[in-house]
Amino acid sequence: MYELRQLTRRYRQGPSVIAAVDGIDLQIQDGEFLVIEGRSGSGKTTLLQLLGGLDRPTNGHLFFDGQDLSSMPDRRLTDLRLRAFGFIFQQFNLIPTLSAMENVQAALAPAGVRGEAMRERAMELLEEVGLKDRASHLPSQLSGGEQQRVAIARALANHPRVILADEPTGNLDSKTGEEIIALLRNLSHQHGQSVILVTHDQAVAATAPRALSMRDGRLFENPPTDALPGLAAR
Amino acid sequence: MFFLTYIRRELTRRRGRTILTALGLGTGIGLVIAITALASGLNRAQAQILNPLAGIGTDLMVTRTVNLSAAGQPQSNRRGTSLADVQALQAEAQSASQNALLDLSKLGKPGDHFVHDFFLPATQLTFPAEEAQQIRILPHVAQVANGLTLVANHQEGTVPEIVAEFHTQQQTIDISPPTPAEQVAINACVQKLMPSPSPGQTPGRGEFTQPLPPGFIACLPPRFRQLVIQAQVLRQTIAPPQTDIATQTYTVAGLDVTQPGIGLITPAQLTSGRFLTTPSAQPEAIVANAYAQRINVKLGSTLTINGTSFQVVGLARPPLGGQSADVYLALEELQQLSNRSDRANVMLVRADSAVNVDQVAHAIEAAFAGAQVTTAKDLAKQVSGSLVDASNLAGRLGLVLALVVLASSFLIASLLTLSSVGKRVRELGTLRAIGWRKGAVVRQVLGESLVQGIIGAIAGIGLGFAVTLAIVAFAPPLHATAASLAGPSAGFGGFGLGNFGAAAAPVTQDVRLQGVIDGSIVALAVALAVAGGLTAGGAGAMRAARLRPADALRELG
Repeated sequence: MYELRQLTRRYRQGPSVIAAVDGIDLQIQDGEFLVIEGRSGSGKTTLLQLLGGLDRPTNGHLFFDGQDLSSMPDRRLTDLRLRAFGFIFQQFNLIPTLSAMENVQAALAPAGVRGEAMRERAMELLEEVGLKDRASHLPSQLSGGEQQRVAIARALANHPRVILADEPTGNLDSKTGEEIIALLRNLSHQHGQSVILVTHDQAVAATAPRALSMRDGRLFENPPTDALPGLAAR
Repeated sequence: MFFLTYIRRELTRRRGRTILTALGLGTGIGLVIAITALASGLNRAQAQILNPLAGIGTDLMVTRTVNLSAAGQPQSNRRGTSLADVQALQAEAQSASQNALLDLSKLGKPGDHFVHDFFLPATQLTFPAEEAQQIRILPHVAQVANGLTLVANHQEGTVPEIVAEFHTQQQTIDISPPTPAEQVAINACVQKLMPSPSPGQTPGRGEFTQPLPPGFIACLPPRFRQLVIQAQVLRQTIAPPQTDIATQTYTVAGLDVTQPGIGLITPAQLTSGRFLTTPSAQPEAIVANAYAQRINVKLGSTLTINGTSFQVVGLARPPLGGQSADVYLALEELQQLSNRSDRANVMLVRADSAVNVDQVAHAIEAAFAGAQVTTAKDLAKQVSGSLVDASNLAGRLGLVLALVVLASSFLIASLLTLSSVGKRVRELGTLRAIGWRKGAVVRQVLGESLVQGIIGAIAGIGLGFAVTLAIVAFAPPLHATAASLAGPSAGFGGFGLGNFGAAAAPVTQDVRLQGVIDGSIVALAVALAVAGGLTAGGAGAMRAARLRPADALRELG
C-alpha cells in the first residue's frame, strides 16, 4: 500500500536545518497494524503527516497505491485525506461547538453524504464505537475516552484505507488508552483497514504485530516484544 | 445542509463573540442609517421649502422689476430695465397716492377720524392682465395665472387742519389829471363823436352839456383805461398740519380664484379654513398665519379695507421665498381697491413638463419685454437659515462621520473575526485534515461572518430607528429664511412718498427635523452589513486559507 523511498523532510529552525524525517525506506502492507514508537522530537509525527498527505517531503518519494504523494496537487491530496485516510489526534481535535453526532457528520458532509443518509451513517458509526446514547452531547460533556471514540468514528466515516493515529492514548489514562487501542485493532480487523499509530509509549508498541522505533528521523526495525503477551494474544 | 448547521452552532454556542461582532457592525450601520435618514429628511424638508413654486403649482414666476438703490437712484438691473420703466413705476406710485396720500384733506373734514389703506406698487411694474394670454400660447406652457402683489399702507388717524389764509393790505392808487395836451386830444376826440348840434341849441364853451357819447372811453389815453400792477412774490410761513396718523405696512396679493391650483398661494398652503370661493356673496380674504397673529385676526373675523369688509375664510402658510403676502384677496377685488383694473404684476406659469422649464423661461423673456423670469432654482438660492446649515452639515460632515464610523465598525468586526480564526486554527486545520477543501473552510468562515453581518443589520436598523426617533424628538426646530420678494423697496423715499416704516420682514419658516427611513435606507443597511460581514469574513477567510494543515496541527504543541 505504502512505499517510502529515501523519504526526507527537513525544517529550517533558526540558522540550522533539521531533518525531522531523514531518508526513510519503508513498505507498509494493506491491513497492517503498525506502531511507530519514538520519543518526542524523534520525527514520528512528521512522518505520520507525510503519510497522511498533510505535509510534503523535501526529498525522496512517498507512494500510496502507486501514486506519488510528493508531487500530487493539493486538491487530490485533500480528496485522499477525505476518502482514503482517517486521522486520530492526541487532543481528539473535535469541533467544540458541534455534538458528537455532528462531529462525525463533519467528515461525511464533504464526501457528499446528505440528509437522512448522513444522520443514519453517523449514528451507525457512533454505535460502532459504543456512543449511541451520547450522540447529542458536546465534546465538553464527554470524557477523554469518549471524545477519542467520537474521533475514531469520525476517522472511519468514509471507509478509509488507513487510519493514521498520532498518540491517540497520550491524553488518556492507561486503562482507557488500552480500550482505545483495542477498539482500533478490532475495527481494523473487522473492516480490513490498516492502522499506523505513532506513540512514545513502549507499552503500546509492545502490543503491536509490527512495531518500529524512530530515533532522530530514522526508523529501526525492533524485534517483536513479548512483554505483554496477554494483549498481543487478543 | 451541514454547512448551515455548523454556522448555527458556531454562532449560538459562541454567543458572546457573535453578539460583540454583530453589535460592532450594528453600531456602525445604525449610525449610518440615522445620519442617512436625517439627511434624507432634511433634503425632503429642503425640497419642500426650497421649491416654493412647486408648492403653488408653478414652475416660473414672471415679473417686471425695477431695482432701486438705497438712495432711491434707479439702477439698471441685470436685465437692463429701461429708464422708461422706472418712470412708469414712479408714475404708478404717484397716481396711486395722489388721490389722498399727498392731500389728506380729501379724506374728510379736518378733525374727522379716518381709516384708509393706500396701495403702492412694490418694485414690480404692472402690466395688462390680458398679457397672460400671450404667454399661454407659448409652446410648453401648461397654465398661466395672474397675480397682483402690492404693499399696502394702512393709515388711521384724524384729518388734519391744513387750510391756509393769506391777508393782503388795502391799496389806493392815485392817477394824475390829464395834461393840457391830453385835454385837447380828448376834447377833439369827443367832439368828433358828438352828433351835430340841433337848432336852437348853442354850444357851451368848453362844457359838455349833453351826455357823453358812447365810445368816449376810447378817447382816453391808455393810462386811464388800464392799471398795471407789477408781479410780486408773497412769502409766508404755514404751520405743518397736526396729525395723529398711525401707519402700518403689510403686503396684499390678488389671486386668480378661477385657477386655485396655481396662484400666489394655493389650497395646499392653507393651515385652517378654506380657500377663496367664486363667486362669493361677501368678499373673502385669506390671511397668513404670522400676520393674523400680529393683527389679532381669526377665522371668521372681518377685515375692512377702504370700506369693503372681507371675511377671513382661511389661514395659510405662504411659501417661503416666493411672492408671499400677508393678506390674499380675489384678484378682481384687489384690482378694484387699488384702482388697477385689469392689471397684474406677477404671472405664474406652469410648464407642461419639468424638463421644459428653462425653455419656457427663455421663450417668455423673448416674448415679454422687460420680463424677469424667476425659476425655483433661483428662489432656492435665496433661502438661508439653520435648515440649510443642518442640511449642509448632514450632507458633508454627516457623510464623513458615517464613513468613519462605518470603517471603524468594519475594522472592529474584522479584528474580532481574525482573532476568532486565530483561536480556531486547530479546529480549521482539523477540518482540512479530515478532507475539507480550502474553499469549504473559507466558505464556512465567510458564512459565519455573513450571518453576523445580517444580525448586525437587524440590530443596526433597530438602533438607527431609535437614534433617528430620539434626534427627531429632542432636536430643536430648524429655520429657513428668505427675503420677501414683495417687500417694498427701501428706496421709495427718493420718490418723495415719505418713509413707510419697516419693509416687510423676511419670511421665516420653522421646520421640524424629520427622519425618513424608507426601503432604500434599509436596503443600504443590509448591503452595508453584508459588505461588513464579507470584509470581516474575508479577512478571517484569507487567514484560514493560508493555513497549512500540518502547521495547524503542529500548533497544538
